[in-house]
Amino acid sequence: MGKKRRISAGKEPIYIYVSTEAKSDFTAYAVQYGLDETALANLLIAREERVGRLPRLSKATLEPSARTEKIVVHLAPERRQRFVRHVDDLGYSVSEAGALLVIDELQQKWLERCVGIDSD
Amino acid sequence: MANLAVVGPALSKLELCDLLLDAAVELERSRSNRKFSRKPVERLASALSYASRPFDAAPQVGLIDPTFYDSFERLFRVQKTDTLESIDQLQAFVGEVVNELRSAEDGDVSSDAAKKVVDFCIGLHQELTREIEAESRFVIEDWRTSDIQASQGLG
Repeated sequence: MGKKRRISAGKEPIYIYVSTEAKSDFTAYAVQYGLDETALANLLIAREERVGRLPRLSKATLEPSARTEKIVVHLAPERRQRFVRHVDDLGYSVSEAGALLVIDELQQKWLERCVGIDSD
Repeated sequence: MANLAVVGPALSKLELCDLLLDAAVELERSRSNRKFSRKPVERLASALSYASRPFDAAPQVGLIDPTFYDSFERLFRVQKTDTLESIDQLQAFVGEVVNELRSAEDGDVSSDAAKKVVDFCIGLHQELTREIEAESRFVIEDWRTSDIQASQGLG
């Protein structure tokens, strides 16, 4: 049999692995704003490209052995390449960088300030 | 930032997602009184304007780019909580956002209006992401990389 390949060659998703607890918290947080975890992770990566928080975040917050849950991120090929280069320059894998952004957002709640103000 | 050159007939869902996210981030910065870039806002306004333009051959006929129609329609139902009875309503819905984006380009948008546009950007991005996610589940057999292609003449 031939190898299976996604139709959208060059548009392969990025996979972010986080702990079960972080995935659950992130999903619940996203749902508050009518989002799923994929859309929110996309947004965090777009924001990272603009404000560059990753260099200020500590890799120590990651627990490699506990990162078993997957978040799928779909990015346009150009942004995907830019993100891969960006995290590579910082010495992170894409999954590590994504996990850092997820954990940072759960602490900082940027989205809450962004769309949550006046939401009631 | 997404390239201005992609704003046109061949804009894909992923590319529109990029424009929406870039514009949302910049508008959020403007709401927070931070320095923001107008380019992404301008690009999104052009893309949305194109996606909801009048039909070239008959300008009196409304048109929504079929690539984005379903996403626009679902977002309309969510944000307007209204029944969609004609394509004109959908065009007007997108047109309102385009107008706000044009105002934001000129630095002339209230915090409330900017928030409405950020909500639109994030909401439309969510709808598009759902479609992209669903479409990405399709797989094909890639015979070019098959181990058996040489022996069976499939190369």
